Amino acid sequence: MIQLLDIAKTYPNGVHALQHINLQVKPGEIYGIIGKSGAGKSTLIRCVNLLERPSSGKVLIEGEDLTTLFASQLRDIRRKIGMIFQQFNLLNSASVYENAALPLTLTKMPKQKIYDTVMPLLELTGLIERKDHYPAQLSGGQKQRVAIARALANKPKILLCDEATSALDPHTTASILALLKTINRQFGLTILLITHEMEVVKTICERVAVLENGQIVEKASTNELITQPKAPAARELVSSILKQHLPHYLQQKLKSIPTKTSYPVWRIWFHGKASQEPIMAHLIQRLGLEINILQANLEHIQNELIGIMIVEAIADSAKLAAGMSYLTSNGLQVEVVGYVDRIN
Amino acid sequence: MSIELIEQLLLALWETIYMVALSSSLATFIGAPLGIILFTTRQHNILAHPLLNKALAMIINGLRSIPFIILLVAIIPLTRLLVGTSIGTNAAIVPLTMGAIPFIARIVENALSEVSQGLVEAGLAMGATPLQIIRKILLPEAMPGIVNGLTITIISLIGYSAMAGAVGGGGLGDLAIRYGYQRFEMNIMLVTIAILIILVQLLQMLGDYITNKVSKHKL
Ligand SMILES: Nc1ncnc2c1ncn2[C@@H]1O[C@H](COP(=O)(O)OP(=O)(O)OP(=O)(O)O)[C@@H](O)[C@H]1O
Ligand SMILES: [Mg+2]
Repeated sequence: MIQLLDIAKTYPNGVHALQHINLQVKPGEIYGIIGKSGAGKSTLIRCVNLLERPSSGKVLIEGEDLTTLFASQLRDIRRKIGMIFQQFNLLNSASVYENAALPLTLTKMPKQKIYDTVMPLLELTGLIERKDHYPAQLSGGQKQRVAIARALANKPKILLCDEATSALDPHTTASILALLKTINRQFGLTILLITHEMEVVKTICERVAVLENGQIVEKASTNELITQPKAPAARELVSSILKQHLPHYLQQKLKSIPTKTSYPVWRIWFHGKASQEPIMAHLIQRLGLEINILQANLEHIQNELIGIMIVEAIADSAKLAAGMSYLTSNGLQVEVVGYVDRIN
Repeated sequence: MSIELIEQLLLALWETIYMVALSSSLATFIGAPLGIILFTTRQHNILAHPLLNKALAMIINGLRSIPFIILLVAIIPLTRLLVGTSIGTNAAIVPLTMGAIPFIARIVENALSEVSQGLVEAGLAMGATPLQIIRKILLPEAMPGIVNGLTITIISLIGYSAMAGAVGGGGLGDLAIRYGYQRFEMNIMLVTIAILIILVQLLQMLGDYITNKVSKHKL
């Protein structure tokens, strides 16, 4: 369990990097902190293991306030907190095996026991065949896997990820995130990760905090954040994965007031609560609406359908009303964006 | 060339090797820890101590700015104190060592500063002590740079040893000056130069070999 209580960090140059940060990460969950460049993400995650000492506030790990500890006590706690970095931070002079074993060689653990601990981790991260290679001979994804194996060597309860996938291509990112998810499940590891990519949050985080200018402007479950972002910064981030804006040509055709020859354009929000039934088919076949899909952005996020569909609904007003109430009664949110004239 | 001359040459070669080997070992023994202190006591570093850092940097810069030929003479009292005499091969080792210490300190400091700060952070994050960070992270990572710098220092020491030799320290430099310069025996001068060139070449090759050996991972 990680608790941050009213953390503030002001750098000596006067930059208020963090203010009033309150955060609680539950055991075993994957928690994301998202924000734009310069928002204070790195400062925040580095405060958790006191690589950066907060100017005020408390950092509680398993209830213990790290800011009050002596250097040696702090080192003991840090051994139980793994950390991985954007730039991997591997020793170039050490092999894959030696890198992964590094945290253990700092303790007085016998060689054989180190071997018995490290080899399963290399197995887990898919690096057994590479164990005698050096970092210079590895791809970015493989390097991050070594870093993950290293972070797990001390059997930590917590893993901190500082932009762990930002230096990787989308495909490799996906495989690293999958690996993080696996170790989260397998070891019940609590993961706190920071990122500027909504995609990362969407893929593995259960809960998320949005950081802007050193402050948390929104805390929500990932689903809530994506379907109902409140803070402007959150909306902006969400729109990066769900393009909610209508294409330009459509916007120009859109009128705010209906005419005799126009039909409404609906924006339908899928919140994930909607059942698996074929909603569109029902609208068309049972209720007799003609539905013209203008734009759809639907994503499966942690096994739930989330997203937005923008449609033109063509029918008389009675059918339109019936359609609208059918959608809302199925847990969808419908909003009339405007009206377009049927030209054809 | 007479047997006697060849014997003299061999003796001089031995004296040179002896002076350089001993003074570079001693200088490394003292200079490397100073370099480590210089680096780790920098601001924001693992043993940050700005005052100590400034003081040490000043001493080292001071030593470094003294021309070797002056150092040679200036520290004669110290040499007498340590070795009991100010002439001879053993006496030459004192100024050679003193001259090399600041170079080696700076070389080590510089090589350490090339190591990515991220690695130090990773070490801190895994609960390493400052000493462990130095031994397990900084030194191994900086080793190619250190070996490279040491090679350069040792080669410069051969040159300096000739200077020390000229003021009574023995070695190849002494021989070259006594025979070549004072008695105009050109061939002795040339043989000495040839030996020095071969010695430097061999050292450079050895240095490169070791540098390669400790950085083979950087394929
Ligand atoms: N050591 C430092 N000294 C002074 N100011 C700093 C320091 N580190 C960061 N800052 C400042 O604090 C603010 C937050 O920086 P931080 O690195 O935490 O942002 P970030 O969200 O991680 O950004 P990025 O996505 O670019 O990595 C920035 O304005 C930055 O300039
Ligand atoms: Mg950052």
